[in-house]
Amino acid sequence: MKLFKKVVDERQELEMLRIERWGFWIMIVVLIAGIIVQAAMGADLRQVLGEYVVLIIGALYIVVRNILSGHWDYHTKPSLKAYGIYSLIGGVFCAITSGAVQYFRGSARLQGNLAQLLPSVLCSFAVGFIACFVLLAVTGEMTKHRRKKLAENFDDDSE
Amino acid sequence: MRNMKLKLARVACELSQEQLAEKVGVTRQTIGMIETGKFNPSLNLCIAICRALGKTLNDLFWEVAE
Repeated sequence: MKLFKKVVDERQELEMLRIERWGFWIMIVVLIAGIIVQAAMGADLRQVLGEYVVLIIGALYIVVRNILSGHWDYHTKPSLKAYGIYSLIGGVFCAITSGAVQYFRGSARLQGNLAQLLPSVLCSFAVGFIACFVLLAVTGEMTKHRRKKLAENFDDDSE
Repeated sequence: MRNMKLKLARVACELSQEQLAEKVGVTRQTIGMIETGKFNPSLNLCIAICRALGKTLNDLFWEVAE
């Protein structure tokens, strides 16, 4: 016997799932913003370790469960074009974040001359782009492989 | 899209939204939202509603193109 019997109908369940999804994304965005603000204020890794751990555990769960279920994205299919577009967004995000953190955290030298930030911002963009592309390509190919395997389980000949 | 067929069938069976909801195990709000086209029920729920009203899926949920 189940300890808690479900008392919501399918519409209520769907609405609750939507609310929970929004709540989850709000938490993720606030968590990332919190990490960036703390980093900009000069916090070292140990001070934001808790936030990082929460973020990584949540992200890993989402990625692993989606790959196992053969899901990729709401708007794109796993392809070089999709990896490229999302990596570009990731690279720009890394560049802006890195620039902002260095600017607010940095010395008067940096604040006096923004051009000095350019090399490190470009480097952050490149690192962010490459890291995102590699991760997306690996997870995308894994998703495609998983989809193929799941489809084989439900083809016409399987009973 | 409003589901007038469902509403008419329910009224013909002299059932209120509350009574139909109780029969199929959902809330009254869910029945109201199906009737006003604000919620698309699952096939299982469609079948349960059809059984409760003694109708077929075609009778209640099939739209004939104009």
